Formats: sequence, C-alpha cells, structure tokens
Amino acid sequence: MSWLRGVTSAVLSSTARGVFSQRPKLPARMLSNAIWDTIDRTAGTAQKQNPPTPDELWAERSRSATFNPPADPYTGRRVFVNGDLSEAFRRLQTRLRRNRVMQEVSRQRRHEKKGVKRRRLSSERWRRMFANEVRKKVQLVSTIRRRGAY
Amino acid sequence: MQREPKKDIAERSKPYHLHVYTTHNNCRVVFTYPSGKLVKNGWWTSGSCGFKGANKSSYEAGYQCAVRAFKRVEEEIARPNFKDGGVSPVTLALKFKGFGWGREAVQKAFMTSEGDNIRASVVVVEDRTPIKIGGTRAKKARRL
Repeated sequence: MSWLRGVTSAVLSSTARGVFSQRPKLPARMLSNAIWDTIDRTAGTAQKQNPPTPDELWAERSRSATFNPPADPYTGRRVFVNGDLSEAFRRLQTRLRRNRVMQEVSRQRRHEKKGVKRRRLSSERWRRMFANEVRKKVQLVSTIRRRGAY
Repeated sequence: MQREPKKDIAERSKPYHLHVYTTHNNCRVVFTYPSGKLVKNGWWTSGSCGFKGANKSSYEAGYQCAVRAFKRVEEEIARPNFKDGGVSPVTLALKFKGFGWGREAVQKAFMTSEGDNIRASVVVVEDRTPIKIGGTRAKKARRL
C-alpha cells in the first residue's frame, strides 16, 4: 500500500471507514464503496500468510456486485427515498435547480428568434465572466487579509 | 461464465405510479398500477374537484386533487386489487410533470396529516417534465 501513503492530498476523508488505521488522504467519494470495502478487508494482508489472490478478490466482488438497471431519459431526475420524503423532495429540487431545468422549460415554451438568442447568450457569457473575475479578486483579497496585509 | 441468480438479494416489488401533471392552467393527478394501467376511480383533475376557470390552476386545486388521491391510495393499500395487476406491499413512485402551482401543493400535501399513511410507501420521486433537445419549433413569443 505504499502508493496510498505517498498520496498527500490536503482534503482529509471526513468519514472514518473500517479498521484501516493509516487512513489515506483521499476524499471518501473518490473511490466507490466496493473499493473501500476491499481496502478495509485486504489492507495489511501482504504480511499475512495467505493473502487473497486476485482471482479470489475478483470472484468475491463479482458475487456481491449489484448493478443498476439501464438508464432511461429520466434517470438523472430520479431520486430514491431514504426514509425521509421531504429530504427526497429537497434533493430533487436541488438537482433541478443546479441543472436549470425550470428555466430551460420556460424558454422552450415559446420560440426564441436567432437575434434574441444571440443577445441572451452574449449577456449570460459576460455576466458569467464578470462574476468569475469578481470572485477571483475577492478570494485574492481575503488571502492577503488572512496572511496579513503588511 | 453463467452466474447463478443471487439468493440473498430480495426481489424489490414494483411500485404503483402517481403521476402529477401540472400546468399553468390545470392540475391532474393519476394513480396507476405498476404496469401503467389506470386504477378504477384513480384520476382527479382540478375541474373534477369542483374548481372552474382560473381557479383550476390554483394551489388549493392541486391540494384537493392530492387529498382525494391519498384516500384512493389508502383504499388500495387496505385491499390491493390483484386482478388488475396490483401487488401486495403497495409502494409509490411519484412522477411530476410540469411546474405549475399544483406541484408544490401535492408535495406539501404529502407532508401534512393528510398524507400520514401514504408517506412511508413512497420509494422514488421523479421529474418527467418533457425537455426538447432541438425538436419542433414552438409558437412565437407573445408580444404584450
């Protein structure tokens, strides 16, 4: 596992998983659940007498793997309820808002002529660039302030 | 390599569908079996709930549709109609289409006391608003 110890990412995994004490500094969502389980189960086994062979690991994972059904046009806007219905509604709304679905639908209701569309896109692009520049300047100012201006 | 079917993973029951179609003029709630077949007395619209004209698009109309739908769903939970394709643990899949006022009304109705018996059966919430990718040309923009 030396390649894991060599990883020095600033982000520490906030969710403690398994008994692997030398927690590699990777965000928990970077690797799937199956991979974390394999790491927990097999980490430090190189020193053991009979470490599981790759074939055994493969067979184990293949046996317990579950696959999602094939995607349809609404898979991205489908939210499975984990007990809390209001939380599921909120998750769906967040997903719709992040992808600007409502704006898209209201824009498609009426035809947008080519000049109108061109002007809207140009305005959106400018506002996006402007907001980006302002955000960068503000971040710069806050880093300077944090480290001491003088 | 042929894999034998997993015995430890339980078969998930197919959910009934509750379609909620809201526009800026109306609201329609439809309750169907897992196959898609309409449940008997399983549809409610703002007009069928007694609202007329502009009131059909109101929040209250959506709420009324939802309340009547919940009552029918409770009936189905109590006595599943196996003949027409019902399944015994009645689970619900909510499918929203459109962004009218009725949509939020139905969501709120679930969280109130009207939906106490139904809330636990919902397993999946989906948005099915049709989105064109290219597609046919819409009507021209209104000049107000």
